[in-house]
Parts: sequence; C-alpha cells; structure tokens
Amino acid sequence: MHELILINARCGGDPELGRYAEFLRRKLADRAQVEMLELESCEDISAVPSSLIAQLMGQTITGLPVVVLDGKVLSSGPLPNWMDSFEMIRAAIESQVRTT
Amino acid sequence: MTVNAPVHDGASRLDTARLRKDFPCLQTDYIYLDSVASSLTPVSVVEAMNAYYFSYRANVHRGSYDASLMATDQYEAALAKVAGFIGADPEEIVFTSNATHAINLAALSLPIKTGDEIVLSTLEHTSNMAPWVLKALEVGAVVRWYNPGAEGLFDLDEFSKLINERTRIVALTYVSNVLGTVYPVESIADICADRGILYMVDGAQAVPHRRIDVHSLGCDFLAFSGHKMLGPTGIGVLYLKRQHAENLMPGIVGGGTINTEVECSCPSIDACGPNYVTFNALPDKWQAGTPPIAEAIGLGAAVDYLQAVGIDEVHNHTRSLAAYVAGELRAIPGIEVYGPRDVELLSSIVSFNLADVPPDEVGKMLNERYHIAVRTGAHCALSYFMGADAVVDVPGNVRASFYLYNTPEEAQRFVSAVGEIAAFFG
Repeated sequence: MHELILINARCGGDPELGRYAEFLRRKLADRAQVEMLELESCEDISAVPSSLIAQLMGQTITGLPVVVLDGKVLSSGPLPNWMDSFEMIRAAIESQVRTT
Repeated sequence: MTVNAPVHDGASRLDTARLRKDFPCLQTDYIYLDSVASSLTPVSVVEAMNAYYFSYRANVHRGSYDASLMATDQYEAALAKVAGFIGADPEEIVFTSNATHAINLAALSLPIKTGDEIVLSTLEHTSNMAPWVLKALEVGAVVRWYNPGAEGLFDLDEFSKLINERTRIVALTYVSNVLGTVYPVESIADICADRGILYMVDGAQAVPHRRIDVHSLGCDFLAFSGHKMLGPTGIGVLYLKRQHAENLMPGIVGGGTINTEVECSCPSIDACGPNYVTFNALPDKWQAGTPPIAEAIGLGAAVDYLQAVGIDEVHNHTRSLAAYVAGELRAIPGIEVYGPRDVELLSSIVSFNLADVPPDEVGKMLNERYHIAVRTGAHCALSYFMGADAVVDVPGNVRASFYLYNTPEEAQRFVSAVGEIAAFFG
C-alpha cells in the first residue's frame, strides 16, 4: 500500500483539495492510503509530522499544494485538472510498482 | 471607402459551415461554448469599426467638416438599425456602455419613493438586482422577491401575489443567464400594464437570440448588451418607451443632453438647476457625453449580420443545439441538468453539475483536455446560488451556451467530453 499525502494551506492552497482527496481515496482505495494535511497558515507547519518533515528535507517545494508519494515530492504548486493530476499520480504509483 | 461593410457571404442563411469563416476566432480546433457571456465577432463588425477609425474618425453632431458629418451619418444609421432590431423608434434608445449601465441608468432615472415596492426575481443577474436593491436602500423602498424555483419556471399566479398598489416597478430578466429559462414576458407586461406598474426587461440574453418588438411586448424599459450579439464590447442599449423618454429626467446628464442653443433663463448661476434646463430632442436627451461611436457603428454591423442570417434562424438553431445537449446530458449518470425540460421554455443555455466534482474543475477539464470553453461558477446570479435564501444548494454550475456559429458536431463533441469526464468520476 502506497502512502499519498496532500499538503494544503488555507492561506494559499487549493480550496477544493479536500474534495479531490476524497476522490483519490475512492479511486485509489486498494492501492494507496490518502491523507490530507491542512496547514492553518503558510508559516505554521505544526500539522506536518516531524517524520514527514525529515523526509521532505532537501527536496524542492515551490508552492502549495504539495503532493507526496511514499516520502517523495511528486508535485508542488497548483495542480492541473483532476483528471490529469490523477493520471500523474497513477503513473507515479505504477512506476514505483514496476521498479520494486 | 466602404462605410457600411458588407455582410460576408457566409451570413446568407444559417449555413454554419460558411458563416464560421466570418469568425477568425473559430479558425482553430477550439470549441467556444460561452457566447452568452460574450459572443464572437465577425469580420464585418471589426471592418465597420476600422472604417470609422481609419477613414472618418471624428466626433458626431455639431461638426461642420466632412469627417464629422460622415461619422454623424454612420452613427445615426447605426442607431436606427439597432432601434429597428427591437422594434423601437430611434428616439427611444440610448447607447450605454453595457446592459448593466443601461439598467443603472433606468434605476437612477425613476422617481421611486419611500414605501414604493420593487419586484425582482431570485434568478436575476446581479446587474438587474444590485441597481434596484441600491435604489431601494437609498429611498426607503421595499424589494419583493419572486422565486421561480430551481428551474426558473415562472408561475404568473404566484408572481401576481407580490403585486399591490405600492408596486412601482417590476424588473425581470427575459431569459435567465443561468438556466436559459424564458420568462413569459408578454403576460408579465399585461399584468403590469393593467395595474399601472412599470416593467423593466433585462434583455441581455434575449435580444441576441429572439425576435423582439418592444412595442408589441409592452414593456417600459429594456436593456441589452452589444457584445453578446456579435457586436463589440463597450456598448449597451437602454430602450425607454417614448412617454418615459420624454417625461423622465435622465439619471445621468451632461454634454449632449442639454440644449445649449436655447437661452438659459436662470436668474443667476447659483440658481442653476433642473427647472431651467432645456433638454435636447430625443434620443440625445439621454445620451450624456460623447457616445460610443465606433461601438455603435460596430453594433449596427452586427445587427446587419444577424438580420442577414435571420434572427428566427438563430433562435431555432441555438435552441435546437441546447435541447439536444440537455437531453444527452440528462442521460449521463452523475450529471444533473438544471433548467426546463420543455423546449418551448428553453433558450441557448445548458447548465449542469457533475456529482462531487466542483464546477470549476469540470470547466478546467473541458478546457485542458478537450479544448472546450464553458463558463463555471455562479454566473453573477447571487440570489440564486448564494446567501441564506439561495434557491439551490450548490455554489455554482457549469454552463454551456450556443450561438449561430456552433455546429451539431461541436455539440456532440461536448456531450462526448462530458460523458468521458462523468465516466472517469463515476
């Protein structure tokens, strides 16, 4: 089971990301555990577990939302439409499956 | 010099394949389904405005030189065409910057008093809501809201219950910009006329698509925009029944409205006021400042184009496409279509939502994956979508709209795209 984390913030993220996370949970039910972290502000990262922060250290993050698959940043900044972003996530999952 | 640019060959009946050549924006694979927000512009309209800018650029009226005389002739000709298009006399229309401005001008000009009542519907565009609400707040009038329900189906009996001896004006849309539902304007006009109530029609979504004769209709005021009917942006029209044009004090005044050739009888400059004003003859009385000359000439060319095609042909074509799309979308699981099922009550608009998917996301998918332009959101219909008394419990929807240049093939591609999106999320 993969771990997919969406990091969003009320200050500048995607206001519909919660609904997108719901969609991803349904669509990836048997392949990934989808979690969404909503920051109260762009400066307050207390909602992000320290273990995840440690994983993200050194990785490039350019904006919100951040999509993290198994500890690796898949994308940061505005997502494309839901279909395209889902295909991006699915391709990443399949890519990992093939290499493991 | 070609002043009245000829209507292009393609516009000689509703031969979509031919007339699409008149619209440079359509020379791509993109499908434009947002014409009720703003229609595309044919070459002849741009050429007509170019002729003004390149060949006889001058102000109208009171000019004694060739370019000004030519500009005046072309402006007056455009005014007559536009007035004729809605069955009005040229003295009964004033050019504004858009329909919103036109409605505001009407609201500013009407002597509504404390305790008077204004009737609106919950399906109004903000532009036919905010000016009246503001007016009511300013003078202490009361706004009464008629709710035609989620599909906008107008019940004349229910509407009549809102009318009383204090009702001063009824301001309603002709065609809903959200749902495409057509209001029974003739019947509403009869009700208002019988009781001496003024009737303002927001015709922004009707004039581009339907044959309208304001004298037969019997409304007191009608507003519409040029840019939704093949014309340029920056021009709208307010029709005022002649008696109102003659008797009301314009809510916006200035150069052009006041006759400066009549001797002023003010006893002193401190006493200057409306009692001493002599207004110009109609329609100049209402045309404050330099009018939108190029835009008026462009709108005149747009009227030429629509008349060459045939407004009834346009109406039948766009309603047919909308009815087809609405029917097909209703058959797709997960899609909820808003608006009437009765084709007679339908215009060129199809609004819908896909369960659990925000309308903006559907619009993004249609744009990015299928190259289809639609509009999403609340469509400026705040009282329909928003607030404690919202008519529907969704914050907005996806709206596709059709015009004379849209083809059945485009409608099919749109249905297919929505079907694919719905299947993906199903």
